[in-house]
Amino acid sequence: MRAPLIGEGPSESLIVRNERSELSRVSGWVHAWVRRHRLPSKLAQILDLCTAEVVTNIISYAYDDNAAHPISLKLSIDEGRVSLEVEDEGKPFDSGQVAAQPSPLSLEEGRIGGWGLRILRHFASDLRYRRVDSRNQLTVFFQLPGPTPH
Amino acid sequence: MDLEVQQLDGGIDRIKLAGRLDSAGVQEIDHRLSALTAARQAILVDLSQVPFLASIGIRILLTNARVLRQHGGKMALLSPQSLVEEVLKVTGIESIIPIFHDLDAASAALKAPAVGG
Repeated sequence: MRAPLIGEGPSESLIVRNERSELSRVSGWVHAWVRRHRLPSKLAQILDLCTAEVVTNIISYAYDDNAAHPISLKLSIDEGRVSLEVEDEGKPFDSGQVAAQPSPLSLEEGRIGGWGLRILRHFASDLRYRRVDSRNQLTVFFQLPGPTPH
Repeated sequence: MDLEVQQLDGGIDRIKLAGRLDSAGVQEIDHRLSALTAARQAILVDLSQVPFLASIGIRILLTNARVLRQHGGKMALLSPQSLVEEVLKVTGIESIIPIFHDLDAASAALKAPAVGG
């Protein structure tokens, strides 16, 4: 059992609607992709979590209307890392620039929500954002574990 | 997501959650958890069977911990799995809702008088 070779570049895409009921489909897709590429289960959990946070953010904040909008997802492997590309047609939102929720000092202080960005930045090795033709294009990179030294 | 309540000594309710604490999971337990925190004083949320904690799950833990605190109660978390614990640490939640991996230590902390009312 080995990790895919660098540069093999297998990738797959999924398009979902901006509805919370789609989150289970997103999770199933992530886990199936990781299994297919024989990547570590820890990476599956991290990808699952981070994909859920990005998609939840889009569902929650990207649109002012109640219409259905597509969210495009793509996973690929290249040069020792996994990239998750997420595209939506919502309001401009640069996950790399927006301030993450600070840690709460006590139960009485601080907001109750807004943890997604902090989680994303912790687990991702890099985030890249572009606004192209009225679409948000976010790419989140995750470092694959290297060979264990002996 | 399943929610099971076990009453421990010292008036502590151990709430065992099982399943993903994501958007769907939160919807499934929201009302029961709120009812318990409104009525009880010491709640130990057993996370040992929760493989996934998203930010929406953090929100429900914080909301209920705050409600407990407002009527003089306490919450603690028991035995989170490694990735869930990492999320709790990264977000700083562990500094305000304590995490234990030992039931006796968690019970002792919940029985101790609340600090700062």
